[in-house]
Amino acid sequence: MSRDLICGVVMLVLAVAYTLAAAAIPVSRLADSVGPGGLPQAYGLVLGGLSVLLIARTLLAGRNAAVDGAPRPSEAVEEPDDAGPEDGGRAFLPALVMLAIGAVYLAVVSWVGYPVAIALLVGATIVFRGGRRPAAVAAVAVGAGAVLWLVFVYILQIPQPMGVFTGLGG
Amino acid sequence: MDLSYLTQLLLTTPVVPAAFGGIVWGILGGALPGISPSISMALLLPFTYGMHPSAAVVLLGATYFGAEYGGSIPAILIRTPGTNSAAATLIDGYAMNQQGRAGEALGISLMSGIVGGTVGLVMLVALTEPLSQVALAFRPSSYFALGILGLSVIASLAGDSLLKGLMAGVLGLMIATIGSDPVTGGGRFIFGNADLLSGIPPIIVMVGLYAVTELITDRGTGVQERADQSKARIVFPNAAMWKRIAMPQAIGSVVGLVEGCTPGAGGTVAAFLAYSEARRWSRRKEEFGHGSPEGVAAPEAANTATSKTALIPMLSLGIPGSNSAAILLGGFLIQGLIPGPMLFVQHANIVFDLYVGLAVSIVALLIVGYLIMPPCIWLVNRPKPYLSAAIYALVLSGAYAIGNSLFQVSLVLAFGALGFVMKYLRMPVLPMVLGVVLGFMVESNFRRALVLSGGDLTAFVHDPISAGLLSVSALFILSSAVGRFRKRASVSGKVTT
Repeated sequence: MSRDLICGVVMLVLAVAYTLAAAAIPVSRLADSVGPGGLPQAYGLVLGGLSVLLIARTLLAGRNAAVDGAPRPSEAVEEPDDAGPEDGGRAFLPALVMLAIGAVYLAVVSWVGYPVAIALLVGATIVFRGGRRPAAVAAVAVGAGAVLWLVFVYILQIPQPMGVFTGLGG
Repeated sequence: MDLSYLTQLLLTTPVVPAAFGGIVWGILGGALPGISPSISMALLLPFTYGMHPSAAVVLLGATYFGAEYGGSIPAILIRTPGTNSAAATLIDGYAMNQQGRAGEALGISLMSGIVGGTVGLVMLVALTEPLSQVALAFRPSSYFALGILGLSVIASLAGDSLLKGLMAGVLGLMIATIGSDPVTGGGRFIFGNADLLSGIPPIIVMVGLYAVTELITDRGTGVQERADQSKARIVFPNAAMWKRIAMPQAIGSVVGLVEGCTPGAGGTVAAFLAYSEARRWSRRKEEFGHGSPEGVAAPEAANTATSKTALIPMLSLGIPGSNSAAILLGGFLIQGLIPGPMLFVQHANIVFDLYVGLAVSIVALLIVGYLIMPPCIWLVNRPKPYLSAAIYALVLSGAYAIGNSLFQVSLVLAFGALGFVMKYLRMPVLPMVLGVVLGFMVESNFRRALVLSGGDLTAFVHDPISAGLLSVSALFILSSAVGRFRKRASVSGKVTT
């Protein structure tokens, strides 16, 4: 299945779900003639229509290409620079690991506190991205935790979740 | 005001240190993702109590200017827009960085900021009174049309698939509907989550789509890869480059002027409109999106011009057209000064001092902007694993700072994942950003206009400003469509032959 077709199908499903959710928004007595669900439903219908167009265009282009062997129009003008993860599935794993590091940070920051959590995030990211010297990784992680805590909590006076370090600000 | 007053002002009052201090603070705040210009200014507000009144307002005005410029530094260097408006600079600025032209991009950004700021200041001084009348003439139908004009930019910024660009734009509009309904105040698409009631801030979407997506995308670069150190310094434009970026700077300055004195429009709309217009009038359209200096110059000139012209309705009418202008208004009120027509009668000296302070801030931006670049460039030339980790930490810390909520941090990660999927599906993210930024403005004003007109759709045509803006939007879309049709026809011709 081509990326255009996947895109069209995913967007169509999203459009249907969004339109149904928009139709279910309760209308208050204060509502105007358009109502809280009016424009969202219109957006959903427009996205649905565009998705159907994309699916149809991709299927037609595929059929034409099969007939005369010519490249599909969408491919002929596609930008190679903005093509994104070209190696498909293999690119998803590093992305998932990076997101997982962020998710673990989110899960523990309220417990272990911002300085420790951010140091763990920094250390884990360096190791995952290829940093191999344990002493340097540890020093940078601890340093980053301390510097960011100083900058955000003390200099900018922006509280961060401090967990067990609640006495240090936040 | 005579020369002796000016000399006295510059030498005996803290206006000059305030201008420099504001620029330093603003650049730092703007460069930190999550710290918007208004937050940078708000953090300073308590310190202005007891300050010399002129120094206090100059400090805040210079911070606004510095922050609007500062947002472009991380946008160019680490693909993270420090402010909403820097998202437009990011497109070509980061592309230039990837080509080893970071110093050149930063130089163009700085000089365009100086040009935009200077033009904005001249306009602020010359046009405050007459242009303030334009703001008064804006009705909800006009704001709706202004939003549509901003959205019409999608047609030219959609990349090579207009269909996918439009889909991304609609997705952005959908995201903007999350939160309280602009008319009734009831929750929409919040699924019982109170954190969503106030909607999703556009900066969260931008940081996720740009910074996190870039961070999680494995480009397979070497562990110790660094940029060529000889190129890791700021490069000011030479005569040929000045000639090339003069037109985009002029376009950006004019757009910044118009958007600045229109309450609610703001630097983000100005930056994207300027980018689109610079592309439309450029002889090298094909370079836009791939490292065009013009693509850096236009939005930078626009958003820094806006930081000056946004003061026009605030000073003359007391209408703060943006969050930053509202903070500055607060700074005036703290000093017992009430912006509006009487300000020019009762406290003309303060207004003059502000103008002088803002002029000093332009010089300060040139000096501080130049001095701050080498350490910034040095920082981004650290080994990739360490740099990625530092950016990740900064992005997640900044995301929390936006609303003191871990939920917003999770949203940043979610939008990072969405950006990655969109990259895979080859959907442009820029139209989505525009949709998110303009969605609330479009919907709220569309519905308000209909309420005021009793549901009569012709209200959008009867309002001359609305009719004019909608006509310009239609022209934009039409010219983009014709351009695309021609391009497609030429590509098909080449393929066939």
